[in-house]
Amino acid sequence: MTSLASRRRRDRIMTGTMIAAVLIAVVPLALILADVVAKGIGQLSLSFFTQPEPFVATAPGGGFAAGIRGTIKMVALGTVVAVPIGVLAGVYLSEYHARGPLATLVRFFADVMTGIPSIFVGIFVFTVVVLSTGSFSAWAGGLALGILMLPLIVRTSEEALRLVPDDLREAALALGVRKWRTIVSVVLPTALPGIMTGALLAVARAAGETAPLLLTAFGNQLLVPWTSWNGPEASLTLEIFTNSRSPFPAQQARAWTGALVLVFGVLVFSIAARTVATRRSRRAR
Amino acid sequence: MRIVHRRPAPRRVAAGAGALGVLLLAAACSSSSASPTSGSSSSVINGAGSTFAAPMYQQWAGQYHQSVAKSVQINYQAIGSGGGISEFTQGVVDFGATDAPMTGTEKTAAQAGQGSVVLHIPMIIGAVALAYNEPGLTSVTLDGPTLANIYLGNVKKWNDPAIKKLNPGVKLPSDSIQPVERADSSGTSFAFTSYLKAISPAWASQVGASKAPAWPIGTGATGTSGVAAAVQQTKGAIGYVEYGYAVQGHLSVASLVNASGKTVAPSTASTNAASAAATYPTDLTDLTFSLVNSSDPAAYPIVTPTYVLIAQKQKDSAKGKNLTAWLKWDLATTQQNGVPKLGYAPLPSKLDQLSLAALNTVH
Amino acid sequence: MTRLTADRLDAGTRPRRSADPLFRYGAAGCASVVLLLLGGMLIRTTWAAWPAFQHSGIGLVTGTTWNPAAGQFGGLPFIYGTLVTSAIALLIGVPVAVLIALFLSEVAPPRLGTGLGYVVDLLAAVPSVVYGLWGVFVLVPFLTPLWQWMSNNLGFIPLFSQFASGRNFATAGVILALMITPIISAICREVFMTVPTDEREAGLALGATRWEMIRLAVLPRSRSGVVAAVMLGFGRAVGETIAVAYLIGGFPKITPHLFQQGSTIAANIALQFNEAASQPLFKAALIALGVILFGITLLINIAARLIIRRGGTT
Repeated sequence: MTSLASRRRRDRIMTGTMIAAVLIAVVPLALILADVVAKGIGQLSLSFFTQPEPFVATAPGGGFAAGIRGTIKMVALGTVVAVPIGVLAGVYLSEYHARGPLATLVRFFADVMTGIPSIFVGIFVFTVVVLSTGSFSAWAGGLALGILMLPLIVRTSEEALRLVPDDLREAALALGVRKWRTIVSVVLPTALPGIMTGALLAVARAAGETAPLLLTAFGNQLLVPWTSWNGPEASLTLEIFTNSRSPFPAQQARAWTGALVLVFGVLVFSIAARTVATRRSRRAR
Repeated sequence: MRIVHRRPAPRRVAAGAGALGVLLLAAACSSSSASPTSGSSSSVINGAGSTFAAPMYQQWAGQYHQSVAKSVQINYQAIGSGGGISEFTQGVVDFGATDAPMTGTEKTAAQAGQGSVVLHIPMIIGAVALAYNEPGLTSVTLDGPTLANIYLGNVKKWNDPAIKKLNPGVKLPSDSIQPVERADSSGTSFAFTSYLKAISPAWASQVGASKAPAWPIGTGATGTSGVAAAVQQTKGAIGYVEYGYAVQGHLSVASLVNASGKTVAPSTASTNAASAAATYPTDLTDLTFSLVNSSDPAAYPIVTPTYVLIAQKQKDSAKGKNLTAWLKWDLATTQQNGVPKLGYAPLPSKLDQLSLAALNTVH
Repeated sequence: MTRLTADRLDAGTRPRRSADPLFRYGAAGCASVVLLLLGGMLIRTTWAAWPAFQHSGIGLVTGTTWNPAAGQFGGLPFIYGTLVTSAIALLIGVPVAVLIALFLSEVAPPRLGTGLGYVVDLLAAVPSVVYGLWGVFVLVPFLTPLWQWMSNNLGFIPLFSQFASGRNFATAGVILALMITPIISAICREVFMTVPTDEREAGLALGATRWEMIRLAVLPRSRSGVVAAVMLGFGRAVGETIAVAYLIGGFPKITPHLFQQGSTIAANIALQFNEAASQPLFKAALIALGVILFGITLLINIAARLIIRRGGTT
């Protein structure tokens, strides 16, 4: 039996190692955020959001309006596709035959699908949409993002719906309300904060995707009209990607500013999701 | 249990979502049954390909839109010559751009894909410069065989005897040379490896000339700008880039010993010397030629034209008109005279005439 | 009253109205979309990849030469690069992630724990293109002198000798480690928190130090959960495309030297897909590698989820 002193020393060493591990994770994150802010703040102005890239590559100024607009369009499409289907799927998993074979399979594979390589989804949407329509498009990009968002929304919706106390359901049923009406009028509204959390997290993830958009939206320096969905579309991530691999200081500066906008946007959504979640759990108490 | 007032029930969420989904589907189907070419109007033109020529095409596209035809918008994506040929073959872009002429197989596939004879239209000439990153070394001279040996991995350090011999009296650093090359399919790679194949039997037998050669060593970067960026960021690196990228990226470039034994730096003048001395084809359907390893004493040895690929018979005649108008504008004297500012060289006038004549056959 | 009773209440006593079954089938249909999508993706892509499987057969995974122009599609260098970078990521990331999770669940006071956990989770929210951008401009210049030093002084170990470039397996592995640490850490934290307090208190009551208590009470009960977390992290690392594309050096090669350039399946698909799209066999080969990659991640994810289920943690 080793002495108490050496056991205590080992305990202190391990505590120190744990703190070191936390620092190893936190310090790079702080560095990334600091670098993105420091290198990106210079070009940040209103025109960054409203102007496309200058057509002379080395010219300073301009902005990523094309990419920001494209990201908004395609993430919106992905949300519109993934949220109704995902929430209803979550409804099925939670309210109907929750232990049945279909539910078990869907639950399992939705979890599995959260780990799909996003480039693979890009390949699939390319073969199905881009090749058959003969063009890269915002449709294809948005669809790819929707497929990536779907499993996340299914699982978070189910979790949110399960947390709704049974008393509410039973009270409604006892009053003679039909099951579907119960779900729509009582259960879903109660679960709404949790569902929103899931949706916000999925939006944050979709906004940060690059690889699937390389094969579906393709990229565009021009500002595509909000109503035009059939041609190549830029995204914030694609513009950062292209501009970052350039020797021209002007393009590199725009890439950093784009990264600042992207990181800030993603963080806002993640924090909003977290806030909604904690507010929901506080209300439920 | 606290009684919490619920918000009024949302109207038939399920039915609403279903209707929305059906509407979206209908919208998607109806718009895809419209024009099969990319973009929803004849005044949006999509092109893709060469990163070598990208700065020029993008500038011309912007200037044309601003000062000549406000309704015409041209979107050019620089994805490399191989990617440009591929996307053009599939019909997902309206024109392709490549520095390397299409091979026989590529040409057959492209003509089948576009349903028409495909023309190569020379647009500008450019030099493939060897940019390097050695802060203390303001200039260096290399020759073909040494360059081949660098990329074969035989010459490993900047102060290698082969380099010393070409640069008498120059203090060379002892850093390792880190060759950078294109990882994507590139017309610039084709021009560079064509040169290496012409002057190095070892290169010809081991690697050969191609848009996507099997590089023996080196770091792969994407796009000419990616190579330039990698050189910019890595001490000791050397990479082949379009000359304009080196100039605007503030990278030093090596001088090369040309076929006449003279040491020449890349510049508009040395590029012009190569293009002026060449003989050009007369067949308007195959305006492809090589400018590598020119015998002119003032010529820079690695020079390449860059072509636009266009279908002779356009599927959408309105779009075709806009496209040919833009290309003809690019070939006009004013625009050609402006290319040296970006590091390119204009087409010699006889070549310019040939390009215009070929464009006139597009309908 | 259980929910089953409520269902039964609903079922028998009123005339059937069309909305209820409609809603149920609609919901079931949406749930099935998940399965249909997964199945559809697998089938469609395997079908598109079929010509490559026919042409190269097992050579797709065992061949070492990738030369599309010559019709050679040996995918082993990419598989090798994928596995090596992920392995490096795990080697660095797993110990760090487990230690972080232990700190947050056992050592840190509750408020600090939640706050720090939140910060670590933020690492997962950073998009991979930003990791790549930061990696190229900040991490590579930082790590290059370190790798060069290791190559010069620890070069007797083949792994470290023959430094060729700052963009290499090791650098890509480091950025992957950063990216997978939050996932592994989050799951481990959940797992550690499910260990009953009694066990902890029993250990402490017997006079164990905190570290001993962790080693004796927390870690043994969490083994399957940690394994599952590691597998999920591995799945994430294997599928990462963009950050790795920036940092791996873009040169398909099988080499034991970690400071040399390589390539991965996902990065290569992103790089070559546009060019391959018009060449049927080339495209099929890239899609085939994508299907193999998907197959690998599918298997890893399935195994991990099964372990989680069996371990009783969610």
